[in-house]
Amino acid sequence: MSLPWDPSRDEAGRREEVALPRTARAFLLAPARRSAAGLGIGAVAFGLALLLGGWHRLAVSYLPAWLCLLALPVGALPVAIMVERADAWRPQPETALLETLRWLLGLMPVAALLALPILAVLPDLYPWATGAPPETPLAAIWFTTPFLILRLTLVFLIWIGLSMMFARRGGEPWGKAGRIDDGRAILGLGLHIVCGTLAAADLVMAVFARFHSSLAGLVLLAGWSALALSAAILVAPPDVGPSRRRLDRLTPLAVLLAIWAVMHLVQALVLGSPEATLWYGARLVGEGLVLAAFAGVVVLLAAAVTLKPGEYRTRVVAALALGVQVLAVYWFVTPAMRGSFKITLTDALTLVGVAGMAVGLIPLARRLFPAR
Amino acid sequence: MTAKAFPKVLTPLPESLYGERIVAPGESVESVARIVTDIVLAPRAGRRRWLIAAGACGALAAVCALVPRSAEQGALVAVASYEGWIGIAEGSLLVSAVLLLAGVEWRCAVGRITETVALLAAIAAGFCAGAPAAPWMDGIGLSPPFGSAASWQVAGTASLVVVCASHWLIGLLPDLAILHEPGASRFYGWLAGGWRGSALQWRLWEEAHRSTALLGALLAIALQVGASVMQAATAAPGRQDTLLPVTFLVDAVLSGVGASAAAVVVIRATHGLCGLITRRHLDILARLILVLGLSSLYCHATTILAVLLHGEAAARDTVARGFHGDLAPAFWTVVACGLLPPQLFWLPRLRRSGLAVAVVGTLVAVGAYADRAMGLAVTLRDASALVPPAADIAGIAALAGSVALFLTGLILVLQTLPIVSIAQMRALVLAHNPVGALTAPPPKIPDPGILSSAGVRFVAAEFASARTLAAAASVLRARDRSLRLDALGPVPIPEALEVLRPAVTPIRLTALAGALLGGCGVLAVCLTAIPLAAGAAPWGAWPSLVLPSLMAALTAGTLAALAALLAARGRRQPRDADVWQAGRSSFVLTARVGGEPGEAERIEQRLMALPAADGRPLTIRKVA
Repeated sequence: MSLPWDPSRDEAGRREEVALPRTARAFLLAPARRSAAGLGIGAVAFGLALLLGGWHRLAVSYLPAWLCLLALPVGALPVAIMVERADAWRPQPETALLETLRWLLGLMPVAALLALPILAVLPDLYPWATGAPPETPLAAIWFTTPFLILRLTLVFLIWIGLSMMFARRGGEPWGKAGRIDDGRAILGLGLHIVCGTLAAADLVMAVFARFHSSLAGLVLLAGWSALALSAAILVAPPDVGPSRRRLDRLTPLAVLLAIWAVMHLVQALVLGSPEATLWYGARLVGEGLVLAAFAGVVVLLAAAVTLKPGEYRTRVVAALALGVQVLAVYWFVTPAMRGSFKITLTDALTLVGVAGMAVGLIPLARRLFPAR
Repeated sequence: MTAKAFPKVLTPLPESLYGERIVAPGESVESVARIVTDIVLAPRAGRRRWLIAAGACGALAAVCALVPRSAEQGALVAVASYEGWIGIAEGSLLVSAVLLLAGVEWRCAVGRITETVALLAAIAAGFCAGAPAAPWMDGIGLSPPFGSAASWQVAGTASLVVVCASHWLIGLLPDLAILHEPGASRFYGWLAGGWRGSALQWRLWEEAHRSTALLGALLAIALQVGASVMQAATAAPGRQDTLLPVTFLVDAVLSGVGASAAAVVVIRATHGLCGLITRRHLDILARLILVLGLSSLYCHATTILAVLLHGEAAARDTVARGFHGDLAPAFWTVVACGLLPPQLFWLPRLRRSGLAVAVVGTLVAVGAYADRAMGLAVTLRDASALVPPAADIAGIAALAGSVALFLTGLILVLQTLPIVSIAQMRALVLAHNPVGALTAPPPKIPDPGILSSAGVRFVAAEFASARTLAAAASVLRARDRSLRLDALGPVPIPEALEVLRPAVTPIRLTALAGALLGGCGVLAVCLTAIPLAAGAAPWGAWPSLVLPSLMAALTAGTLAALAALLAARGRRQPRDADVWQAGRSSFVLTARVGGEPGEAERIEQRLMALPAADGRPLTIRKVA
């Protein structure tokens, strides 16, 4: 299977590329220049966003853009674990989808590196960093910059470790070893959910000082997994050979979307406090309401298409789900700073900037992940 | 929905996983049926003791049922018992359904036990239902009796019992036909109806089983999440948490798996089922308990952390009462029984110990019960409700009676019905040992007698395997497309279905139509007939619209699937006892003979001309 930016192909690309490419796109996408091109595009996009919106708006746009990047490896992690667990004892080769999910795990160090700017703009994002009074005695200790840095360092170290573990094929073929490593799956999923809950509370829910939901961690993790799986479905080439018989990419996506939607609904139904009403009030008007309705349609569409799946239909649903989940990240975060859900040009430029920086940093982060 | 209730016979599977076999070596299609049917049919010395125990438990349940209940007496313990049993029923149903839908092969040996636990727990919940105290029901804004706790409990329990019973009965159908031995009681034959094990029936059975599993799983989730959302939305501070529905669902599944695991261990030990329920099953059940225990631990820890970080003073006070206050007995029971014991299963030796699995399984069910009781006490702001006073005989009677009723049902099912699915175990045995499990069975169709061609309506041929049957059917169908063929077998015969391609309405469509009809009907009734309570806003009474409609839809869909399957039994089958008998343990192809003279002989000649290894039958019989 060939994946974009596969480092094993880079060397071959350098050797084979003798003549200069004929188009600008081909020139920039050439393996030798891809990193520099990504960093350059990212820097230009950030510069434009800074000129257009200023430091504060750039900081507000940077958080959801970075969360979209983080969602790719973090969301891919549990899906890869579950798919690997389901397929561990089968003698057939891995599916292209699982290989793509493993490739996405390699973005974890990139996301960790790009989290550093957030630490520099904490007062622009989080009320507790501006000196807002803590709600409880424990919150006074919990929400401090050193403790936050300690927690995030621990969380990202665990996530990077898990990514390195699951980026390689796990378990042993049953014919050889006759056993499945369940402990690896349980440990991986358990640590991931704990880390995800902490990160969601610290980085996402903390932007709104007065609204707290203990379900939000699971809601965000489900959404991120749906985002990563949608992206993987769109990128992964069709399976060939024995793996083709296991081609069912839509059902996991439909299940994830359904879990995500049901948890959103449950959260909305349980919460009845004035703060919760305020939180939902900022998100369920105008474009936010349209997005919520459209997300419901996509969830139902994904469930309906499972009755008659097909590769083209699966990719269409995945594209729609990817769009919904990217916008849902902004829906969650930005109304806390802007009063309502809206996408600005600064958001788009910052998203391009984060993507460019990620492309530029991939070769550096890939050194942690040995070639398969 | 694709048919996945059985493992694919032709897919090579590992003999052992986790170092233990999934089925004991040497088990065959015949031995599986013999082991399971002997528990029910063969005379055994211990049967009388079991029946006496069932009678004693039944008598205790009857006595407990006679104890009068009122709002003051026994209501709280009865509600806690009701919720505990409902949790076990929904958890067992959910885990059984999910494993069936996922096509997990090891479930074959324990699936029937899990489904039985779900059904009996739902009935036991019904024993405790009708209690007037469920405080969170006050907030749904409906006039009595629709807004009363009793009506909601009865409706929810009735739906659960109907869905559990339908799913359980559908799973039993092929096994009941196997129990219907010639000369034996007509009871099993009557229950099995027209089940003959034809390829079409198997296909419909698989579809119905999976459809009811899906509907059952959705019902379990809807009931559990719906009830917990209502409770969380109206609960006191410290209990009003968005994670509460997830916690309830996880605890329900944990208690269901725990109760099922304990039942599996006891049944395995007392009925000599070690060859079918191996130590690998215990290992997997223990791993499930471990995973669910970790999930429960996550939910409880996250809830407490959220309260300590962001909770109001009242909420933090509730948490403190759990650590060292009036709620401490219940809280530490949850920790000691529900959260800590599953962690023992990190040790491989304990995972394979039947005693450890049974003890931990029972403890986690007790822990889930304590959590429900604590929730009630927090909601009522009265922890003394947890410990019934001496005069609270009614509450204790409700709990004791429900336990006695559960045990009575379990013993009666054990003594009268197959507790392990024979059909699914046979398919599993064939999947693991496709050659040895069905080694050249002796012909079961008696020698053909002299029959004039005019009286022949069917030609029946017996084959050594499903593959040879499919090859023969393919040859016959290639020669004459109008020939009406059918196949009988002890397991599903997808190979034959690919050749026969019978035209039939998919059961899932029938179930979908039934669900839409039932759901829309009840929604219309709710919109037009049920009055709102005084001062209640229409939008605030959403549970009165959504939950009953959903319950009705899922129940009606299940009943429609069951009815469609029952209606399809005995369709176009030869009425010959010998042919049916043969089809219960080997593969039989039947061809319907038209009015043309000599047609039966031509079919016979074509079959006998096939190569011995590729389609030639073992025996051929003409059936009148």
